[in-house]
Amino acid sequence: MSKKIRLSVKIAFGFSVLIAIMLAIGVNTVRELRGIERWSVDVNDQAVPLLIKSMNIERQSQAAIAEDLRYQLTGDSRQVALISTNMVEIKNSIRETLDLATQYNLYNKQQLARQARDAANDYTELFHRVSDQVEQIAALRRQMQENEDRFHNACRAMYAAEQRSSLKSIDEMIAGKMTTVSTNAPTIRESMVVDLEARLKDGAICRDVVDLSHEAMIALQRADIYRDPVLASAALTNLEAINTKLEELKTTLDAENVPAFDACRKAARDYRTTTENLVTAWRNQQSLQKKGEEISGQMLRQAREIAEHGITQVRVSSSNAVQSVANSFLTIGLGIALAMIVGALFSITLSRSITTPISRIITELSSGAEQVASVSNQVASSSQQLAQGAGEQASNLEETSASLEEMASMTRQNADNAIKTDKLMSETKNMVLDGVNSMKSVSVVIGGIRQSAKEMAKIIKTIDEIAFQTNLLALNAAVEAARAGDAGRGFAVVAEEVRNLARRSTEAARNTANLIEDAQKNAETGVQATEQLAGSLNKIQDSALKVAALVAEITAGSRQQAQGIGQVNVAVSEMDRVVQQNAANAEESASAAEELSAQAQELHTLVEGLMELVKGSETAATNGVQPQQKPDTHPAPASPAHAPDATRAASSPAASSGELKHKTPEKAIPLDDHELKQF
Amino acid sequence: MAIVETNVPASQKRTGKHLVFRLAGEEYGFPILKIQEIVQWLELTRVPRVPDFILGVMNLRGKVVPVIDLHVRFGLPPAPVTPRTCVIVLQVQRETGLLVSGVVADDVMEVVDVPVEQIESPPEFGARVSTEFIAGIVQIENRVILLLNAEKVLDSRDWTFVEKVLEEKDQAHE
Repeated sequence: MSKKIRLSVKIAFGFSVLIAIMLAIGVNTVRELRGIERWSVDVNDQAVPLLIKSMNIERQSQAAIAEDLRYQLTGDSRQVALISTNMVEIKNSIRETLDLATQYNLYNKQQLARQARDAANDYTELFHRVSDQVEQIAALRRQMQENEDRFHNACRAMYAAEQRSSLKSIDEMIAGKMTTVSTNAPTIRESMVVDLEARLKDGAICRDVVDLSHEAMIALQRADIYRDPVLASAALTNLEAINTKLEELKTTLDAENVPAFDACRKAARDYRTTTENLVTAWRNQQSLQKKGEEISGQMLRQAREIAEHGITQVRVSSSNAVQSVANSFLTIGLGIALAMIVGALFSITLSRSITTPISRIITELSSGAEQVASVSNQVASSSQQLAQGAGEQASNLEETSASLEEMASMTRQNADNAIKTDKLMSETKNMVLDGVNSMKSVSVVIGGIRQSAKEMAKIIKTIDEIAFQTNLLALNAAVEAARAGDAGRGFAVVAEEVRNLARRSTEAARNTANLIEDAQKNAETGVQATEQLAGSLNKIQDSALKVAALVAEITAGSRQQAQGIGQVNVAVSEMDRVVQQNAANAEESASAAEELSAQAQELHTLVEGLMELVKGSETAATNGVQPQQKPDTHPAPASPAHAPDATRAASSPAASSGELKHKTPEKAIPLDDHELKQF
Repeated sequence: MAIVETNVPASQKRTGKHLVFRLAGEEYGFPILKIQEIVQWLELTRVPRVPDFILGVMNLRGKVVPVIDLHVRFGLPPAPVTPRTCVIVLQVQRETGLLVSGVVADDVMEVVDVPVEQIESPPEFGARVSTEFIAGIVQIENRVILLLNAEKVLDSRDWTFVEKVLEEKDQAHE
């Protein structure tokens, strides 16, 4: 079946199958790549920008929060500007995100972005409040510091006053014994001790107040350090304790120390008030901070959510893309495997279907090349002969030319003779007319002769009848004589004589009749001959006319012939030229045949090369050996066929010209020396 | 020359002159004493109810004579009538009387004298003519002549019937 199909159809079929497979792979791959592209575009245009934006939001939010915290901690007013710019950036990012989400109709992200925007607005508002609070706190703190300092100074002054009065009391006691309290010595002493004790007690209270104020300061510092208003409330209890201590001190206070005490108490009161305000403001700030943390946490959460949405989208897209890639890998792998199998099968069949006929063609070509070589040798020898023949032809043509000259003169002579013939023919015509007239008179005469012969025949018939009857009479007489016996003997003799006479007259009549019949026949023949002669003469007359016409034509023809001979002369000279050219061409064809032989050899080499190409060097080598092996198996038919050709090629004049010198005897004769010796 | 001896046996009368005539290219002979005369061919009158070898009757000087065609009688090919055709009139002695009858000959040749010693017996077979009609055979100068027996030639089983018819005709004629 596969042999019946053409090679081109086979190739086309195979390649179209491969192309179809490739096309299917390509279409599938393109489809998958289109999906990947779509996913990538989604990722690139939507998810990644959203992700970046959301990350930005998150980062900026965190920065803002950090800044906020720092601000709340430090109260540095420079942070406010930074936080404001941060908030503006956050809002910008949120707006861009919202724009992107709106652009791609991502409703949940729009919602999230809106919420984030609200949160950002809230946060900004809150921040304003916080900053106010912070400023207020700062003011309060300054005030508190001031009050504190004042209080401390007052305390210190009070304490110093107390110390001084105590020391004075002690000095009085030591120096004057009773200078101040001379009247009542024991009482004075006792009062002096009591006074001293009171003074010491006052000094202790003052010291306690100072300690408490220190503790309150420490508590405030601690609260400041730990950022805890609860710790600050400890300071407030200390301040309460100071208050009680001061109240206690008030009872035992010296008059001289009252201003200091009042100042101290006032300072303590102020200090306490400011501290309470500060704590309140602080608490407010903390609640605001908590709220701000909440809002910022919400903002961050939304930003994270958007980011996570982006990440999810990226993940989904990338997993889809990976799936597509895997699909296309699978289809490409399967397709390539299928294509390889189909291609392998196709290439095997195709190579088989090509190599088989090609190897057959190669063997035929090889034998053809050998035949061409031998034929070209024959052509060479034929061309030599042709050249020789052309030379002979040239000499013959010269002879022809001479003959043509003779022909021309003869043609002129012909024309002259034709004119003479014309004259003779008119004379002949007259003679023929005379002959016709003579023939007519001869016919008449012969008619007379025929008539006479007829009459004579009648007479002879009569004579014959008479003779017959005489014979009958003689026989009757003989019968009668026999009847008469001896008496009729004489009569019998007479009857016999009569019968003899009758017989003789019969014979004479018969002879005469024959003669007359001959004469009659002759006359008949004469009449016919005359008629034929007359017809012939008429024909002669016609012919003479025709001859005259023909002679005229001959005259014209001779003239044309003369012209024709002139043209023939030209043609002969042309032929001479052509023959010379033929000779040259024959020489050329001889050399061409030699070249052809060389090319046939080359063709043989090429065919061997082709054989190597098609069957591989091993098989080509075995094929090349085969013709050498043939003489072993069939020495008789192979060697006589090849050897004479080769020797002729080697010893022919063509070889002597040197064209075929490269054609070695080893190549021409497919036998080695040993086999040649055997041959 | 022997005179007619009617009482001599037929085998001994094979002598003397014979009239030689031609019939279908062959030469036959009748003894001359059996012959009444020779006449030229005449127009015949055909007679019905007679054997096919009887051509008809002819008027021989007032006498009705039957004419036999020997071609038919001998089974030879028929021959056309020519100017040389003749009728040989035979007369044969029979028990009832003298029988006169004509025999057609293609040509009449001559009268030959046949020596008795030259006459040979008819062959048992091979002759074209039935041997019962042949009296003998003679060879003269390279010519073979069959000598016929005139009685046998004229004799026939039908002959009485022929005679009766002829008598009737004769009476009618008279």
